[in-house]
Amino acid sequence: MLDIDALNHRYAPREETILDNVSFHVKRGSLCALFGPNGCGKSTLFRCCLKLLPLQAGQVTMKGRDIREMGIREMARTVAYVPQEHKPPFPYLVREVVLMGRTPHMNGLFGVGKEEMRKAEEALARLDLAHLSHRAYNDLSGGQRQMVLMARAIAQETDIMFLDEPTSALDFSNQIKIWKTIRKIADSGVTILACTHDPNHVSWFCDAVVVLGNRTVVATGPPDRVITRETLNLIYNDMCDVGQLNGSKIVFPSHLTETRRAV
Amino acid sequence: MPHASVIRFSKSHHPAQERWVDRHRKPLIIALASLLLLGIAVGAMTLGAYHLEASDIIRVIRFHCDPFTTLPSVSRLHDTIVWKIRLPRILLAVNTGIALSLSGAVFQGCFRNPLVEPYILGISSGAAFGAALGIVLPGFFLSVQALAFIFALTAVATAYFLAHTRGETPVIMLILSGVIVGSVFSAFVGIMKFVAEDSALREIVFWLMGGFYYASWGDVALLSPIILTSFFIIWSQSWKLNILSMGDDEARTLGVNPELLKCILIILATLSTAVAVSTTGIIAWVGLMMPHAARMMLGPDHRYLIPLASILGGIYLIACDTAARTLLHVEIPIGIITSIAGAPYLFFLLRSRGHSAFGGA
Repeated sequence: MLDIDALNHRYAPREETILDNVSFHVKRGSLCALFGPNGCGKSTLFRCCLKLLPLQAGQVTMKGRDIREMGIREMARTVAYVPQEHKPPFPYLVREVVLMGRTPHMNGLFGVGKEEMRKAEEALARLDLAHLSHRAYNDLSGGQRQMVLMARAIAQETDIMFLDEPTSALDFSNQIKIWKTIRKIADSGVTILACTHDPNHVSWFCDAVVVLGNRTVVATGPPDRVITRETLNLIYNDMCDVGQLNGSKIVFPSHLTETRRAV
Repeated sequence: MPHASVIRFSKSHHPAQERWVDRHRKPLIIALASLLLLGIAVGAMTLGAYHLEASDIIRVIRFHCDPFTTLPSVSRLHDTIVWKIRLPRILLAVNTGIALSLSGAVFQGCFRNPLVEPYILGISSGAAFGAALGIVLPGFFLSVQALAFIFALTAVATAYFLAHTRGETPVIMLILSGVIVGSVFSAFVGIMKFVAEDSALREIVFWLMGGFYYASWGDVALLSPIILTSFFIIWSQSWKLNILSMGDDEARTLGVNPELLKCILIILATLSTAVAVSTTGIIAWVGLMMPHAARMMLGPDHRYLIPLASILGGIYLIACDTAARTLLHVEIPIGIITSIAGAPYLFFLLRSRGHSAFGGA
């Protein structure tokens, strides 16, 4: 569904490489995490795949098509991008924000037809957000705003979805809620690549994971094989332990008890 | 009673059950505003040194538009006052109001900043320099108006190309280079004022404060095609302007080419502002205020905001111009009136609705 092959990137010819020979593959309908420490190139990789940055070397293929050959509109019908929740400069209504997801499907001069409105309302209803439809997007809580942005991506009706750290600014309960929603969307057949900082979210919710460390892919595969003490200590310099709790894997900092005693 | 309120609550969440008036609130408000514009235009034409009745005005306009009316039904005096003096002046005011408010809305949307006005890219300083040049050098082969127009476009083009790097035009760069270009042209205007004779200096100062004193059908014929065409093209792109205001990256992933759209919108807005400013001088505040007023009435969706802001701009400039020519025995430059009337309004907006009107940041 999504193939990334030998991707290289640097911002200027003499600056250092950000991505060095990155290759991986995401299966149709799977929820794949892109995992790695700060500054490892996750965002750059996202921006290259979405054509927000020019592709310098290597190839990205979506649904069998090279993204170099795809126009802006075709890209927007193939892959949806869910940014981190944000506040736009103007207080659009929630239904207007979700309707924006229909833009690549709109035709004609003024564009917005009844059909598009209906699809937007449907997307809101699918995430149980119909009651927010007439609220101002800017007035919602961070968790609600993130949900609305996901509803917008659903309204876009693409086969692939990219999520940029969907839970980084949210509280614990909202993080779990958002991940459950992402899981639901993936189970409905959408291929998802989500970048995240939390190894636990990866092992609790994802089908596959690509670990990016020091500019290139360190490991790929199902989370139970990849999220191990060895991998984590490779990218985080020896500070993690992995345990089991009620059958789920859980990552925690090593020497936790000693740190507490020292305080 | 609590039962009834529960029912009403659930109703409000089903758009299909909304009352007709609620569903069509936005188009209705726009239609009402257009009627108000028409009424104010006719009303303003009755006011002035020579008082006329609304029926006199309608008779004169009918005489010119309807080939079957004959000359004796209107007096020559009325014809001169309405057709030669007041009507072109009103039309010029409406066109200018549309141009400034339209551009204000476009620039605020493109630059994702509700505090931006149409002069942000140095258009006013450029036009001012062109006009001052034309006034100081009357023998020059181009008119004051043409020079103002050329330098207004030069200023914006310079700002745009200064900001353009690696195929992108970041908003911050654009605003900063607008400030730089604006200050350079302001310095040039200073030079012109410094070298000007007393009478020319007076003329420059008056030009800078704006006004419709010399309105003629020639101006209306020049302005309205450019401004109305720009209006309709921009209005047709207004949904995409919503997308653009979410930021370049999001616009691109939603299927809109931000560079291309920004370029088209800025060119059209600049063209209409430049042609208006070069005819009437610099009129402050309108382009900043009207999009805000419209946003407070109908929300930020540009499909409704753009027509409403334009109509409000027309109404506001007719009202200010009427005040300018009737308050005192001499004409007051309109820029003074728009600023004096506008500043308290914006202050009120900031104190009462600051949170919602300025994006709730």
